[in-house]
Amino acid sequence: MIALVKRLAGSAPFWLPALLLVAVGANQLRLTRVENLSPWSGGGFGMFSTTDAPGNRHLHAFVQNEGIRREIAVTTDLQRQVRRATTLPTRTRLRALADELMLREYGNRVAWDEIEIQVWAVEYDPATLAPGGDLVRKEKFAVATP
Amino acid sequence: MRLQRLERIVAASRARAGPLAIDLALRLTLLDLLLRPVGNWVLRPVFLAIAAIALIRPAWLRHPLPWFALAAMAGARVLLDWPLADNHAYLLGYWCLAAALALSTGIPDRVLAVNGRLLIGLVFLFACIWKFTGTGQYADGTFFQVTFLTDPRFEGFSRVAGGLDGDTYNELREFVKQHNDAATMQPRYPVEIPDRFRMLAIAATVWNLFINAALAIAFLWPGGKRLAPIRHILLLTYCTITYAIATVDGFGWLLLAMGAAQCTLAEKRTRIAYVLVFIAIIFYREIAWADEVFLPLLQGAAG
Repeated sequence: MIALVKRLAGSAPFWLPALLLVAVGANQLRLTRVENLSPWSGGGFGMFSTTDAPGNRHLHAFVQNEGIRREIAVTTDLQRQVRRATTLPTRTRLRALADELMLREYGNRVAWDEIEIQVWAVEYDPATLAPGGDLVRKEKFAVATP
Repeated sequence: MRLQRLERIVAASRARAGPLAIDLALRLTLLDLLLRPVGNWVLRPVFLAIAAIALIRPAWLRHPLPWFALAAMAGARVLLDWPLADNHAYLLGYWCLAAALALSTGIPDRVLAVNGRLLIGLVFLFACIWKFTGTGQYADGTFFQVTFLTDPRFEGFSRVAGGLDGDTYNELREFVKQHNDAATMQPRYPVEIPDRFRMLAIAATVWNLFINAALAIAFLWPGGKRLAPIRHILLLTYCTITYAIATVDGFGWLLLAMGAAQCTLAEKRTRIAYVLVFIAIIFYREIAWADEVFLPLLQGAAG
């Protein structure tokens, strides 16, 4: 066993970088399926293989009370955070973005029951190239009462 | 044991070997870093400084430490940018690590050659997984039609090869780029897509599926003295054609450095070919041939 480990360690320069690539690539494949990661990102070499690029994703944010629903604007200074959230829209990431949006939009002034974040990609009609929305992920979060 | 045996063989032949082929691969990698600087404002100056010094000082070029530093910074860049870093960032990290590990052994050229072959093969294997099995509208040609219209890097090529005049191109682009999801409007009336443009997208799809699969198979097929010339031809052809159209120069230069690492000392012409294609990609980047040469010619002929 020790001899095997020594042998493997000795030959590591031959395979370690390739092993890293496979591990990261496999994790990227997993994240695209489990967490809706854009195939362009994450080190899985999916760039130029799909129209679902991070730049082709966008989000909508809605606040709602019973019977009232209102879309809130996403300001450009949140661009980087939005880009991360749309590229890999985990619940944690979307929660953080939702909190930030609420803070910027309302501070502690208005209490809404919920905020909903929708992440959209674009799908194209193969015959006409007409773009259509493809809902990648939708998450609702309860808004803390000030 | 294997490593020690190889070290002895290489040491015995090194005296008559002259300059090692590995130097070319390492220098092309450093040139890639200098020509296409990476990292944020903290990492970028360090990347550039190490690359510049290693390029002009052979002791740095052949020392593992600068390469470990480059690999660590490339890794840091991926982590800091997570998940936004592009494929170039990841591949740069793996390749610098491969160089560092190779230079830590007594047979750096052999180790780097194996790493280059595996990394190229795996890059194209993963690309094939996405292109053949993904649901991203690749195989039906939609991806290239959309990309040719929406990515400004392809505009000149799309118009020249796809036979689109300025008005048609703009009309199609506006149609494809309109915002449309359940929260907003319906698409505008579809624009007619010229057959030549559609055929161009299909040709690009077929070519890419073929060349990606061929590269994955050729580079991952075990062994390979007989396969080596085919690998070089495929990689040089891929880089010559692809990066003339898709100006993703940093990635192309990195692939060429990995390919050059596999040249034997006797393959002088092949090494020259790698250098020439590397230079060609510099020209592709600096001279927008489709926009600046062919489009004016076509417009002149038309009008």
